[in-house]
Amino acid sequence: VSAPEERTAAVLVVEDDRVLREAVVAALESAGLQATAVGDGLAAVKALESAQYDVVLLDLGLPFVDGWRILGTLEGRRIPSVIVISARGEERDKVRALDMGADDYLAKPFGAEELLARVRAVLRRARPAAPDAPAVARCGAVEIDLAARVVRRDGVEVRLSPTEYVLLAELARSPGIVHDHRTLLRQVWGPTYAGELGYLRAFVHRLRIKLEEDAAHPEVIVTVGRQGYRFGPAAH
Amino acid sequence: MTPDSRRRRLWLLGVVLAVSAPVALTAVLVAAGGVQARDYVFLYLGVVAALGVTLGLTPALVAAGTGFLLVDYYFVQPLHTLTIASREDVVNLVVFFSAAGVIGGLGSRRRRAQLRAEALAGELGDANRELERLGREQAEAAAVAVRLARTEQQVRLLEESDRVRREFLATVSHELRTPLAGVLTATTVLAGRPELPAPVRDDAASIAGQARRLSRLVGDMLDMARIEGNTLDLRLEAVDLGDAAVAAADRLHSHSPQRTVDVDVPPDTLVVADWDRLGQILDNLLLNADRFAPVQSSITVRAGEGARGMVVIRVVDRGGGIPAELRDHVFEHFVRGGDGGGTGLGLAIVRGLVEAHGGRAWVDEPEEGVGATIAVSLPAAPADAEPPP
Repeated sequence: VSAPEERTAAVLVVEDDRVLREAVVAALESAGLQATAVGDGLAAVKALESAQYDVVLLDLGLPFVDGWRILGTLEGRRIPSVIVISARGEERDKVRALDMGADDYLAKPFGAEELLARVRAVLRRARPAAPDAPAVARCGAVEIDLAARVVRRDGVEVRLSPTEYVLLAELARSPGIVHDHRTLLRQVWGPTYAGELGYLRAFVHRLRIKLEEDAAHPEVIVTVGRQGYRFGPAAH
Repeated sequence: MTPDSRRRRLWLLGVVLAVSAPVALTAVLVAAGGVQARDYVFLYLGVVAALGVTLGLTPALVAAGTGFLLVDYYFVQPLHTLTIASREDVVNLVVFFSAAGVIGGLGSRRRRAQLRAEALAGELGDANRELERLGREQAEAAAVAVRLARTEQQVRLLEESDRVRREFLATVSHELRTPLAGVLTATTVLAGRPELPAPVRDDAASIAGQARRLSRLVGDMLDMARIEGNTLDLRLEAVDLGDAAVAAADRLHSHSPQRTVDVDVPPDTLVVADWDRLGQILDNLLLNADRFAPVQSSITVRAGEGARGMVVIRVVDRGGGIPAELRDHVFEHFVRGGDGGGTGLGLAIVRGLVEAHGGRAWVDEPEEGVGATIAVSLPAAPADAEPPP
C-alpha cells in the first residue's frame, strides 16, 4: 500500500445534473485525479461506505438522500474533505454548510480552474508537504501533537477535519500570539480567501464546540478584539 | 352638601315638625272650641303616623309626647293643668301614647324598609350599569380579537407570500445556474485541453466567458429582485471598513491583476453592515471604476466621517468620468456607460444595498476635474461596539 502522498487522490462527485457531473469528472481527470461520479444521494451513501475518498464534491439538492444529510454523516471524519457545490447561491446556505462540517463551499456555476484550485487546496490541507517538527502544544485539557497531527482532550483523541486541524495547528504553533484574520485566512485557505471572514468564524466555532469547556467563554481559541485569534492565554 | 349635614338638617326638621304639628292641630281644635278630647285623639294618631312614615321613629315619639301634653292640658279635666283627675283618662292617655309609639315605630320601620329598598334599587341600578359597561367592554374586546385575528391572518398570508417568493427566487436561481454550471465547467475543460486545435479552444473560452456573464446577470437579477421585494437578509454587525476595503481590493486584484487600488481608510473606522453585502457594494464600485478607467491608472477607496453619524465611502477613479447626461441615471437599471461587459445592474444594486443599510449613494464632483467619484454613506458603529465572536 502506497502512502497517501504518493497515490492519486480519489474524488467522489455527487451531482444529479448529468452534464455538469460529466464535465466535473472530465475536469478532475484532466488534472490527473481519480474521479468517481454518482447521481443521487443513495448511491453517494453506498459509494462512501464501500470505498475511501480523499475529497467529496457534494451537491446539496439530491434525489433520495439529501446532501445536507450526507454532510451530517461525514462530520468529524478526517477524510474525505467535503466541498459543497450548490446552485442555490444563498449566503446562509454557505454559512450553514461550513457550520455543518463542509471544508469549502463552491457556488455554481464554476470554471474548471476554480474547481481544481479548491480541490488542490483541501488536498494540501489534508496532506501537508512538510510534516511539523516534533512539538506538543497544550492549553488546559487540550493537547496538540504537531508531528503526529493528533489532538487530544483529557487524553481522548478529538476528531478534526483537515481544515479544522490546519487552523488549530496554525494557532498552536505560536501560542499566546495574536494571529490576525487575514493572515490566518491566507495561510489556512489560500491567498484568494483573505476576505472570507465567514470561513474563519465558522471553523473557529466548530473548533470551540469540540475543544472548549464552555464555547461561550473560550479559553483555547480566544477572540482578540476585532483583529484576530490567539491560542491560550496571552504571551508575556 | 355632605350626607352628615343633610342627616342633621333632616333630624332638626323632624323635631320642629314633631313639635309644631301637634301644636297646630291643638290650636285648630281649641279655636273650634268645646269639643270632647277623646273624639280627636285619632287626629293626633294620624299626625304621629304621618311623621313616623315620613321622618322616622324619633319625630313620631316627640310628636306623641307633645300631643300627650297638649291633650292633657287643653282637653282633659281639670283643663289647663297637666294633672289628670279620672283614672279613665289616665288609661286613655297611656293607650294613646302607646298606640302613637307603635304607629310611629311601624311607620319608621316601613320608612327604613323603603330606604333600604331605595338603596337596593340604587345598587341594582349601579350593578346594571356596571353590567352594561362590562358587556360593552366585552363586545369591544371581541371586536379587537376579531381585528387581531384578521391581522394575524394577514401576517400569515404575507409570511406565506414572502416564503413563496423566497422559494421562487431560490428555484429560479437553481434552475438557471445548474445548466450554466454544466456549460461553464464543460467549456473551461475544453478550453484547457492542449491536444485540441487553438480555434476550438478559443471558441470554448469565449463560450465560457459568456456563461460567466450570464451567471453574473442571474446573480444580479436575483439580488435586484431581493432588494425590490424587501427580502434581503442582512446580518448587521460592526464591521471594520478598512478590512472590508482591503478584502475587496484583493478580490479586484485577482480579477484585474494590473490595477492598483489605494485604500485610504482611517484605522478603526467601523460601520454597521452585513459583511458579505458590504463586500458586494465595494466589489461593484471597484468593478465599475475598473471598467471605465485606463489600466495604468489607480483607483482610490477613501472613507471619512459624514453628517448625522454616517461614514462616507468614496471610490475615485481617474478615467474619462461620467458623461453629464448620465450623471442623474447611473444608479438606474441597465444604464451603462459603454459596453464594458457589465450587467448594467451593478450600481443599481449598490444603491439598493446601501439604502437597505440606511445609507445613500450619489455621484460626487470629480476630484481635480478628472475621473468619476461615486460616494455611499453607511451608518457608523460606536468605537466600543462588541467585536465579532
